[in-house]
Amino acid sequence: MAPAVTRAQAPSPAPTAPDDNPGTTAVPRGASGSIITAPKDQPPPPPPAPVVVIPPTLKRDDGAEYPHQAIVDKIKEGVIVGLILEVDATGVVKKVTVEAAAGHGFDEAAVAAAQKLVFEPATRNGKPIAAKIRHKYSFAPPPSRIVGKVASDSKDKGIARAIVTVTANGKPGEKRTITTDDSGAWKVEGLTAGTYHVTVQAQGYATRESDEEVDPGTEIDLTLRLTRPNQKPVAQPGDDPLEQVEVKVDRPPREVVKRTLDQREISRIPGTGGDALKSLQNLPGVARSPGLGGLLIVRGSAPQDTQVFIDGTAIPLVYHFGGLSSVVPTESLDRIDFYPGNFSSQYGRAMGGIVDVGIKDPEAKDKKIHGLAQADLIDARMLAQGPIGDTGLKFLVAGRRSYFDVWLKPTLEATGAGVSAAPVYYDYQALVQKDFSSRQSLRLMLFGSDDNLKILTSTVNGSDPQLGGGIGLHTAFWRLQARYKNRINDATELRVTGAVGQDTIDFNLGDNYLRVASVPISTRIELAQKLAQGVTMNFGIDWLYAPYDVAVRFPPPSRPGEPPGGPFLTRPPLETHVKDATYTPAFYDELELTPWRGNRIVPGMRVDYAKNSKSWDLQPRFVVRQDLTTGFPRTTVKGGAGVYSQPPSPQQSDSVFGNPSVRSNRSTQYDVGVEQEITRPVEIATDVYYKQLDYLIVQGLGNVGTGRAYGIETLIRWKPDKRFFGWLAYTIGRSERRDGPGQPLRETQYDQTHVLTVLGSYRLGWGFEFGARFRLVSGNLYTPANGSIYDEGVGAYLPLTSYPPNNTRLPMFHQLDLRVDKVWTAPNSKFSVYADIQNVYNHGNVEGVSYNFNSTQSVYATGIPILPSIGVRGEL
Amino acid sequence: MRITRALTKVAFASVLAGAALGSVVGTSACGTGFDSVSKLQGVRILATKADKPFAHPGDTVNLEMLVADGRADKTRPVTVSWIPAVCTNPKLDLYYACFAPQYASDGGASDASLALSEGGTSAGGDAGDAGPQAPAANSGAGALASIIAKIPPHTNLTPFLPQGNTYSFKVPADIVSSHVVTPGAARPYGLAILFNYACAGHLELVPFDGSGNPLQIPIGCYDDFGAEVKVDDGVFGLLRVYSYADVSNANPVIDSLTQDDVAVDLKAGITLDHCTESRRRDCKKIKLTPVVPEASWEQNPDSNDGQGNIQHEEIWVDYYSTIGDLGDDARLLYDVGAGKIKKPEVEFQPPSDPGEGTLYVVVHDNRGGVEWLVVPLHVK
Repeated sequence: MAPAVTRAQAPSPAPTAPDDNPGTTAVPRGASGSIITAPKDQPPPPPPAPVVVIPPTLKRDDGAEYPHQAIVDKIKEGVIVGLILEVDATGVVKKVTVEAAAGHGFDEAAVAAAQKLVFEPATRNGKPIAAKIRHKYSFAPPPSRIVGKVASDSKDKGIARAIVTVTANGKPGEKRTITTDDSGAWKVEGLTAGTYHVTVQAQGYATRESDEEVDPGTEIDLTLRLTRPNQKPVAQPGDDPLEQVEVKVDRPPREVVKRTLDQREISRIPGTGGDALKSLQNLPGVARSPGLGGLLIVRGSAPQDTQVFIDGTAIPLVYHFGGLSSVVPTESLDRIDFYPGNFSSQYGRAMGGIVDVGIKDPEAKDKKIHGLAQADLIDARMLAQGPIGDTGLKFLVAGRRSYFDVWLKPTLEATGAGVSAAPVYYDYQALVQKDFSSRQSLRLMLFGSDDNLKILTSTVNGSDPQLGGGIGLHTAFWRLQARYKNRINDATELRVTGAVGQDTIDFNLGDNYLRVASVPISTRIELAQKLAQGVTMNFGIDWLYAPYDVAVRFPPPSRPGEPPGGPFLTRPPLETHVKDATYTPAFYDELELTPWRGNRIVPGMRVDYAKNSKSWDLQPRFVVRQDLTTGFPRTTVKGGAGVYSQPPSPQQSDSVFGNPSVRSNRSTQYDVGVEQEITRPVEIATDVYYKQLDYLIVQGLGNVGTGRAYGIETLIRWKPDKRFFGWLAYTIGRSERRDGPGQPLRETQYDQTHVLTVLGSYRLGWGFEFGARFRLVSGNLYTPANGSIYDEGVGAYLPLTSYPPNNTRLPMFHQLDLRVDKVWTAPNSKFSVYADIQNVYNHGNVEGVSYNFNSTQSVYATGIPILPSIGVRGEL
Repeated sequence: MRITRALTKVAFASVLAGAALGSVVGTSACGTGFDSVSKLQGVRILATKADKPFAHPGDTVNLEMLVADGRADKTRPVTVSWIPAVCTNPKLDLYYACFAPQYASDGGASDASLALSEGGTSAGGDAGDAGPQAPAANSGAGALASIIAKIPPHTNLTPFLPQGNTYSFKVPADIVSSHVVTPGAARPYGLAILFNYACAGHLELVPFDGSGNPLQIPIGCYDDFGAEVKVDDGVFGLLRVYSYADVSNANPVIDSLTQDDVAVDLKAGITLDHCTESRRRDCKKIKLTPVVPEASWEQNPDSNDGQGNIQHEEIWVDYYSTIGDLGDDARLLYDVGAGKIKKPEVEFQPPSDPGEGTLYVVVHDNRGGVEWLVVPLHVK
């Protein structure tokens, strides 16, 4: 209410003429304040008699509507709009003038509201008069709310009595705690615009956290799905209580494409034997690997162009014996993140893809130790995890050892081979974790792998007679890794991973050998700092120092595209012994920008140094994503471009086997795509990629190679639900190389034009689960031979191959694999068996061509026939 | 880490190991139905022995070829012809760099030269008869390709080429010094490559097809009607002779051949009954073992196990026969490190019909050394 004052007492805020400076009166949102002034054109009052002027009195104010445009424009601060009102002698507002425009619809809203004001007219000595007054409207952003549901991940069923905590970021005191109702629903209202950290806790489920950006006057529908961390849900009739089945394609925060496979998906894909990394071969962009091999051929890149990490620490070997099984058993995995290209600046030194394997955190929620044991025809494995007393520490130990040496040794000996060390592999993981709080944890992990065999063959290979005799292989590595994570506050997070370890290769073939001993020391530090609303910076250091001792004695390999000059091992060998160190520090910085809802822009820069090339590689990268719709069904368009450098490998820069003056290989990668939710569980994603390759190192010639890889990837996924998960993945692509100026552009051996994979796994109930996988893939390229020349010195025929290399394609590959699991559940234990049958209809898939001794006759060499395998597992 | 990762992946360690296991669980190429390389059914060069497997610069090297003719129809006799130009130090030591057209003008082939086989002689011919006059010795890069380019296609070469199972050539004195220095090689070396053809017909020059494929044999074997003979009627061969200034090698020695642990009279040969069983696998087998003395297992001064221990040669034996079946094409006799193989024998099954045949036992070492036995087979 405006006070009545006399002009003499106080010119301001006393009533004044309309052009005089007004006083101000604070009013709440939607209300108004008025100060009356005497109009200038009024005659001065007679001196003798005191003049009493009473300003207009507000009789009716409906308030101003918060403008829609301001909501659209996400105006989060309060706005005051000053007005000058001309009120006639009847109390009607005749004219409204905005003193200073505020925009975003505030002015219009204020004027519209002011025109509806009704006043008791101003009076002078009791007589109504016209008046000009100042009036203002204060606009505060309308409150927002979050409504949502907490549901079980596997069953999509609401979880009652879950505790949802909503905390305003940067304002720890502004915390709201709600409990979900019987349907799992929850709601928080009256939120001011800003970023909120949402934490959901429910008994028996892993805590889930989420950061939500809340705009003014909006409602966010947030469904949070919880998983059971120990994979031990209560068995229900007709329900398979085995571990959660989930296939996630998370919205990539920093990459164009990030595909995540979790443990159940990995373990249940038919035809992979439950192997961790082989499961990746079912995703778009990954070529089929021949036979039982597990090579990761990503978007037409050579396997060595793809890096594999365990929780951020690179590992030198991916598979036991080149493809039998992954060096990390599935049981120890939490997830696999796979980036087929255009990956974040946090990764480097690779032109292909990135695979980051996450080891599961130990579980200790019921303060008991749990374990499992599994055995199949190849190996046996165990895992135990739980708390360490009341120390607050948790542990996990796991190990695996093959035992096919038991049956392979007599098999080899029956062929006349002397077996002094039958093929055997083992791997292990042991970790201890301390959670200081929900924000801070420290984990120490030791993991490693060891493969060994030593055979003396008494037969001689006809095409390369020296490919016989003693064959020995010992490959091993271990890493001691420390990982520290600290969410220092709502705006700052620190992640530090350090590792030290040892790599060993001891390989001999006849009188040729490769011996490597290396002690890699690596550190990865990343600081994520929120700089402002919608602006987060990720700065990181990726540092690797690896002293090594390498001794090699081998003939020089043929150059790419160059036919061999004779049996490989009969050429005079080259020998080198090098003691040096790999030193490749890298720094990266990238911004995560969310300028508006549904948008994310990630510009980044990575700088790598390579000691062997003595050069820095500057790699700018850029990713953008835009949600075209809010809520379901989500439509997202995305794209990215970036430079990716891969430093020369030591043998490429070696003065004997390579060229010391080479620099890094380089690829420039482009990716555009779209993601579309079709139904709640079904999503389709398509990416078009193009990868330009420059400065490729060609053996002995330097950085003269070029190439390109391009294609389209499509993934239609049925996300895991109570019964089913599966997907259809199709890639059409091409991979080409030119081995130097003037050389023909040829397709590489990694070129597979069409790769189609359809798979699914369905829970039948009563502990049964049935899965199938079908693959249809273009045949691999090969170089036919027609005739030969006889090498009289070694008694071998040298094939006369056609030109250019890889000019003929093998027949198309197709194969159906099936898998059946059966689980028996007891209150505190679980027992399961599975049968995995590869190539069910026994199709003779062509994996190569076999020639007679002088290459005048040939037949196709086929891959694995129908191959069943079985396994058993017990869990406590 | 990076070093091992890269080396591991490129250095075929795992691949080869995987391949070894893959024979059990992976790709199957068995059961192809091809005839064994040991079964002699056509014209075959089995080996060429140099009296100096490692020659010194300036040495005269005497060669002897072991040729077998397993053809049923021997109407056209087999003639061994030698290309009288010795290709020395071709680019990257690639044999096809001696004649592929792209190497004729390739500046990168500057380490290649071609020399007429100085003093070259053969049992059935004379190097002086060499028809298409080759350029002078050490005539430069891609010289053989240049020669070929000057000869009209399908010229009958046989009259101009030295012929016979033996041949001699003189190693150029500069063969080592003219070889491009190879970093990592145990010691400087030179390479001489000789080409020859065992042909049941005559030899003609074959034009290159222009595809750019360097693996095209410039010479073909033709019958009297100008048609190229069948695969079993001719073999194009090459022999690499490495030269070192200070290293030599001796051919292995075969003391004897045992049949079921009893020494075979090599002149009389092996006499055995033909197989009367209805199933081949039920036929009686004999075990054949060549006796190579340990003295032949020479040290290889350029080989070590990576831990400073000098290794030896690898010695293996190839078997061939014109009748019957051999259990293996080849067997290892001495490993570079492990030494003598305990059971190097090979099983031989006589044919189902009586007849006369020949068994060839060819012993190689991995430094160019070779020796052989030719044993008559009498199947009653």
